[in-house]
Amino acid sequence: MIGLGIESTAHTFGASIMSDDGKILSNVKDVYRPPEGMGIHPREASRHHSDVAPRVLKEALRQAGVSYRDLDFIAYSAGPGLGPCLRVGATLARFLSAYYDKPLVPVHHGIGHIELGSLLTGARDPLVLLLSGGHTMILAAHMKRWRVFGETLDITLGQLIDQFGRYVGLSSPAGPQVEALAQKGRKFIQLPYIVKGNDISYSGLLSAAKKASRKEAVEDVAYSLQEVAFSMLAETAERALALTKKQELMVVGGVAANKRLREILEKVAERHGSRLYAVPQEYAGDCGAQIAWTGVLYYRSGVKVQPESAFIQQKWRIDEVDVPWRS
Amino acid sequence: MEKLISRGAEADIYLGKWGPLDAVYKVRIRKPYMNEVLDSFLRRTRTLREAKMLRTARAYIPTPHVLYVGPKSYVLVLEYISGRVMKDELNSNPSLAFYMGVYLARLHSNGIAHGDPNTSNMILGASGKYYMIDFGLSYFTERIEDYAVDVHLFREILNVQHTEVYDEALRSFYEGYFSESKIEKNRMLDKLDEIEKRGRYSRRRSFQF
Ligand SMILES: Nc1ncnc2c1ncn2[C@@H]1O[C@H](COP(=O)(O)OP(=O)(O)OP(=O)(O)O)[C@@H](O)[C@H]1O
Ligand SMILES: [Mg+2]
Repeated sequence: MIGLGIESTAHTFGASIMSDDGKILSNVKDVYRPPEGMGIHPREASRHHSDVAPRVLKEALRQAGVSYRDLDFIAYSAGPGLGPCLRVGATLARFLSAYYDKPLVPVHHGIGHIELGSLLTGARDPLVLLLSGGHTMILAAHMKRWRVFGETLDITLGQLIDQFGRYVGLSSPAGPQVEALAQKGRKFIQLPYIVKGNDISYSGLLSAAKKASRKEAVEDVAYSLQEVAFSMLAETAERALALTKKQELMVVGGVAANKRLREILEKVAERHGSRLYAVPQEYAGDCGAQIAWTGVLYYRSGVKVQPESAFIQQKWRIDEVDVPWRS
Repeated sequence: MEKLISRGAEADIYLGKWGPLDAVYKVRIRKPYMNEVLDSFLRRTRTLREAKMLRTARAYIPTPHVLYVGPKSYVLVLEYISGRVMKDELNSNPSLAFYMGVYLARLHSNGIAHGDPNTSNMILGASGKYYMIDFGLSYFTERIEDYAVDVHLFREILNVQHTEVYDEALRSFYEGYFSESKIEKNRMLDKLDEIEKRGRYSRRRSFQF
């Protein structure tokens, strides 16, 4: 069985063909880059997605050596995300599904990150840190749902880094650039560290870091921002590990690419007799494969919709979604 | 210090003696991954804060006696409460959440947020009395928002660790909470809603396109 996955929740338009034995036959993407110092503009991004879609889809099929007729299903990211961007992927998926008479499978973007991570790292029953643009969450599967152990009370870690980056004039997504700056930082500047149980709050940290960047070296602020933000996350991960005693700690989502974060999480896992499973860097960010693979899991469980009842959900909580293949 | 009985997010807990008394040593150890300045700042402030809040809260709810505070060694010695944590009892007896409700309401009524109201932080002592512990994240506050965060954290814990009895436990919790709370029920529930919606992918807003 093979399927196509289309991702288009935010910056990235991606397409991937995967087979049900977990092989990634192709994974092609094109990322929208807003002008420096600017955030993502939903309509601009969606225009980008429409422009690149034909080429990305064609290339994904070519690399996999298949045609639309060979597919068993078509999966798309139905949310959460930016309306105009979601609409591009969903409209294409609906059209292809109707035209080629293939089942359509809507996928929650966050679950896509988790399931692809699980496939690629081999983690079976992990405590999950989901660190994508729209999610900062600690989760564990229980009774056929991904249950939230802890999360941010305001902005996500991805937003914290992006918004700080933008403030100091970097182009977004700013993760890699902020990481590079932080590596040059030497001096630790005290910034607000706010943990409540398993939840965290980053908005105070963001304003303090912006303010500090007006009088301190930007490298030092980036360094301190990362240290504080990652330590907060590490603490809540430790608390969740202590409570769940999970043997596997898995980190997925775009921020999972950060090397300093991985180093911290290695030590967190070690302290609790657990092991870190970090998604390979090239699959940390948004991509079609996360949708294609989750599509396989849903298709196998018999979950699909008719093209005419395709939907998108800009807001969509991950713990409202059934995952029938999980314990 | 003798036997390690628990390793939490911040501290190692040892069972030992304090004079003739059974005692618990809560040691906030150095985090190898953390910046040193941040690490010692957190360990010092939380050790001091926990001691102070345990003592303050004693006026309103049962908490273990603080026997020794070592802000430089980051050690807290506490009266040992022999018993079982609520976590191990709740799934077979969800109505116990009532006590968590009562205790949180009493703290809130006296201007204290607990900061980590999970079911491992409540010990049912041999005397039949519940003790609340783990005040390292607690703080003084008059904001209803902070009290609502406590309630939100407890709901979160019920949802992940006591999924099977979520509804019943939450009902008992609210019964306890609103029997003692000075905050009107609807006001609290509105605040909770607000927190849980804020800046995140909360409510279902599905549409066809
Ligand atoms: N005074 C006490 N008497 C008996 N047992 C205790 C006492 N204090 C702690 N314990 C046991 O140790 C466990 C952990 O203690 P505590 O909650 O204070 O630390 P922690 O959870 O590691 O802290 P944190 O979550 O801040 O890292 C408790 O769940 C309980 O089982
Ligand atoms: Mg505790």
